[in-house]
Amino acid sequence: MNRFIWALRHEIALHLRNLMVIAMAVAGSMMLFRMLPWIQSVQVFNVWSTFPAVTIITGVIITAGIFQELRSPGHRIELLLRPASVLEKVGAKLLVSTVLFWLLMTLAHLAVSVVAALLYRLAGGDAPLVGFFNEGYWLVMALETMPDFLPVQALFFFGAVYFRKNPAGRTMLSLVGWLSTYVVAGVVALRFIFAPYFPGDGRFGHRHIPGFEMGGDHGLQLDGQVWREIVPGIFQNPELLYNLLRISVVLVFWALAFLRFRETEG
Amino acid sequence: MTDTMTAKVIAGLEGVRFGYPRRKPLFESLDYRIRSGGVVGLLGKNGAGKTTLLKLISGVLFAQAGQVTLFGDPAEQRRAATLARISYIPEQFEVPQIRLREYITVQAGYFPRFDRQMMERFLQRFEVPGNEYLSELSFGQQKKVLIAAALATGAELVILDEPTNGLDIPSKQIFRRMVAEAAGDNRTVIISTHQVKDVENLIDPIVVLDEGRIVLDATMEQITSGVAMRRFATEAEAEQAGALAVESYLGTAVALVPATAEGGEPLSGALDLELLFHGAVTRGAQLQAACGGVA
Repeated sequence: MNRFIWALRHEIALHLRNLMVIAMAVAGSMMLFRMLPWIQSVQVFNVWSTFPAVTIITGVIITAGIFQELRSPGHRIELLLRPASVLEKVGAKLLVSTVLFWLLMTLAHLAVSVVAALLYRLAGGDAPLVGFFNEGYWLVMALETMPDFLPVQALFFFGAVYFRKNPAGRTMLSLVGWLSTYVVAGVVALRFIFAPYFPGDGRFGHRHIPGFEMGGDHGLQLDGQVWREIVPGIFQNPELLYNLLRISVVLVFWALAFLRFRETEG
Repeated sequence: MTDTMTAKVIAGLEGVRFGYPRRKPLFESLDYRIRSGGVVGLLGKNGAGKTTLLKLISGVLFAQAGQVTLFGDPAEQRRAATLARISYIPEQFEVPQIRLREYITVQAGYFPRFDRQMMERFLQRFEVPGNEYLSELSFGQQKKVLIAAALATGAELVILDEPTNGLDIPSKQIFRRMVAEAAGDNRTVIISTHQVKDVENLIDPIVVLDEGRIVLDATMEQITSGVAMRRFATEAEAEQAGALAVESYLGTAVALVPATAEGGEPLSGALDLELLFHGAVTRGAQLQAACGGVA
């Protein structure tokens, strides 16, 4: 545990300054953007509405660079031989690129919200200031961003370890390639395997499943009946499925990052 | 100091094969043991594989066949407890973007036996300024900080790859004194270099790596009792006396010969490491036999 604390402190020392600058720059830019309408009339705005999007986008960039040491021979040796276990080193980087980053983004947004509220008052605005703070739910907004951020972060975290050059771009390309493969495979399967089950194409005959229709002017219609018939009840809750998928993606890609880092040579 | 050849083995390579992709293998079946204590001078030509050997020992690179052990564990496992016993300063290094004091604090956290007083003393001797960001120091200053930290960690194995590159002349002298001060029976310092003059009177034992093989591994005691420096009238005369390496100076030939050889005028003073190196790469087997070292 003591070693992990040092590994974490080391990472914080390396990244804190950069993260603070980036968080303030992003939040500040959002505030300035939202202040543009003030040229005509001063009005309340909510900088928190863009918090999820900017946090995810900035977080991806931060995460892709979190293993920057692996990109230079001199730094790589230092990181590989840093006296901590693989789990401690990867764990420290994980905490910095998730919790610390999120915390700084939240604080930066809070700071610009306060500044924006003060400027609003100074500019003569007299509406309630709670609007600047997402009607008081700024923390809820920040917390709700995490479950959406983590799966994306996990993918780019793995990419940061796996790709020696341009990890952000290559991870993005891999994801596009990967998803395209699924789409193509899905289309092929639909066309040649499941086609007989859909009305509209006589070549393969017709085997109708109630509630599952494709073709004609209707496009794909899946009203859930098929799903209900073929999967156990516990999986019929879409929110549960979505959460399971998110958790799986996070755990699998963090584990892959750990395994890849363990095998990394200098 | 403990007899280097009977001291315990802290790292070893057995039948190691290693090569970089699309290149001729560097090591086919390399065997080598590092014993506790002393300042090991690892010498070799450019491209002989010195840095690769150090990376294999420290677990930065993985052997393609054979086994590399470090303090009894497979080196490639890079266990935290093992890593806390070594300190490695590569030839090509980059410093982190943190201030000097923070760097010292972090290093002290990782290495339980970190000696802050030694670190401060070494920094003072090197005249490294107070608390700058490491990245804002000159290359030489950065190197001094890393060397000072490596020696102050208390690590049992300190690996310095070409440590004198980038150091000015006074700093090289300070470096030699610091290494001599930090080394001991329980601490091994490996210095890899092709600038043997920089580490003269410091390294013992001497290991010469050539064409993927250890062609010499002997203590200074073994070397000085096995070979001698003599001056001959001509190179031919030196060769006749069984010279292992010869170099002509101002019309005479200075040769490294087996101690049992006859003829020539004995030379006093320190052993010429460049001549020894030359002998190791041209007549390694004969030199090793004369020194009785363990190759």
